[in-house]
Amino acid sequence: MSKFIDKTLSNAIGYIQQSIYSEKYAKRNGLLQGIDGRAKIIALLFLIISAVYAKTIDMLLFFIVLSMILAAASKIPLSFFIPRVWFFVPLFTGIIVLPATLNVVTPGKEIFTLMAIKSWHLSVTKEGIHAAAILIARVAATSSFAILITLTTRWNDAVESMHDLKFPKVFVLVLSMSYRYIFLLLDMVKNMLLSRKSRVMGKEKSMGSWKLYSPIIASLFMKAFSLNGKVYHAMLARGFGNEPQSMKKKSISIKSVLFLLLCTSLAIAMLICERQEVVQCLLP
Amino acid sequence: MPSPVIELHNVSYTYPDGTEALKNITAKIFEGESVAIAGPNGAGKSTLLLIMGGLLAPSSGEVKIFGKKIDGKMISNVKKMYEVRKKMGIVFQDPDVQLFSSTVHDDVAFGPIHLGMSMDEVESKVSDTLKFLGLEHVAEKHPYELSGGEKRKAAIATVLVSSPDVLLLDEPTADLDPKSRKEFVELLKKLKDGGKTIVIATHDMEMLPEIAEKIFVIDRENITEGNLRDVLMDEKLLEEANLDVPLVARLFKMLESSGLNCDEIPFNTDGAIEKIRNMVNG
Repeated sequence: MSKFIDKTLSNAIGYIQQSIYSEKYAKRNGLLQGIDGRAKIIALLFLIISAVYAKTIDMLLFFIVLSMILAAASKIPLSFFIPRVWFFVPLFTGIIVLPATLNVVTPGKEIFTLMAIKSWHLSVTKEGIHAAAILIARVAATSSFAILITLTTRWNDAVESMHDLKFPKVFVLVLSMSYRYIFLLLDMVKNMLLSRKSRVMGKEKSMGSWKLYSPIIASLFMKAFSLNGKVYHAMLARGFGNEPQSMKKKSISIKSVLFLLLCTSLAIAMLICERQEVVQCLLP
Repeated sequence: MPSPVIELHNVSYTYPDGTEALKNITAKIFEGESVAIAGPNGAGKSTLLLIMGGLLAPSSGEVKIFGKKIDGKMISNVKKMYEVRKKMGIVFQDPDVQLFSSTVHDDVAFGPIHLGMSMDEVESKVSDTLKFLGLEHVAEKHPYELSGGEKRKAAIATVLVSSPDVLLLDEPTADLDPKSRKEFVELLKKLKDGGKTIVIATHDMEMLPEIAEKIFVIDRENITEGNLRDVLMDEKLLEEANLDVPLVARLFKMLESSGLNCDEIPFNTDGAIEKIRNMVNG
């Protein structure tokens, strides 16, 4: 039971610390931090799209290396950046892609046999490994660029950029407020669990402890609901009329425009190269 | 004679769960007044403040703000409420309710933007307000990163930026350390001297003599209006409302009961110092 509390507590505190810690990189004086949020989002989105369409390992490796160069130029230590990217890739994609390496999903040249029952056998194929490697590399490349956006952009800049890029107003407002209140609610969870922990003596059975947690969850929902009403009143008092109004509009720097042009040109060039390579492969 | 900015006539409010928060409350607040609403916990102070701020419609009774009758339909009409919103500023008890944006700057800018000010005007007002409250260094910070005192100041900044004529403050000194509390009282004095109408819901009786001239003692069904001095001298009323006499006044009352002749009991330290000086000098 105490393990459960400790884990939940450390995760809640860890999330808060990590989020604030991530903003530390966004405040650094690096390459991507100096680029306007709007330009950065569009540029990196182009690179993500280009990586999604890349069909060769070489091309995807190029994108992965490019993301690392961008990270280093943005003063993000690779020892922080690489584990952040590669933590999710094997965790999610690795598991999903595992069956694709087998002959039952991707037939081809068999490398080794895992299981054989009479004439039926389960083997790993060369084509399967190639397909899996492509998918893993693609996920790594795209998530690298996505992580670069989050690491080098302060949250309010990201929200403003989304607003300027004509994301729906309500979506931007909800996103912005969620980010604001997630810390407060996590703080509440942390305090409720600490208070609970301070009153627990001895060991509790795991089933029993789960039952004791349901009132905490209910209480959190009630507090969140009550907060919702109060926040709406606070917004109403300051002239909110169910339609969020725009925040400040910034002019875009030449540096940002150049970065945008460079990245989009590169992404388009890679797409063209990829297409030509495919066409050449198809030619007799 | 100044005109009333807020008028309540037989106002009652019942929560959806059937809890009666206020019953037949009648009160008037005039332009330029500094008024305290005091009462025990659960007396309905916060609900009364929301009604006075035009955020909550009463279940029955009549509310007028700047002479305009406010009802449930009106509250949800942005256009009709524009003038009221512009003139009334409400600071909630919990700064986490007031600070809902992802930076202090955006929170302070929220009001002026939604009241239709131009971007240049918004930026200039935000910057002036942050400077006035000494909050420039936290402008780009997330509200989560602020200290209790900074949060309280930022919450006030979100209201002051729109230059409202009336300030409604709900338990403004709660959670403040002595230094921040002192700074806050000084700020309120400045605003009061600047001609703002101030309404404070509180049970911090120590602060009131510094700011308020008039007091409403409320306990759901009963509202007693009076001059602050008279109410603070009425021990029975204060006891019934779970309120305390300021420490300085209590000390002088004890001295008076032990034979010392005090013409007028002081309620704050400045008054006490002057009184003692006069007594020493004969």
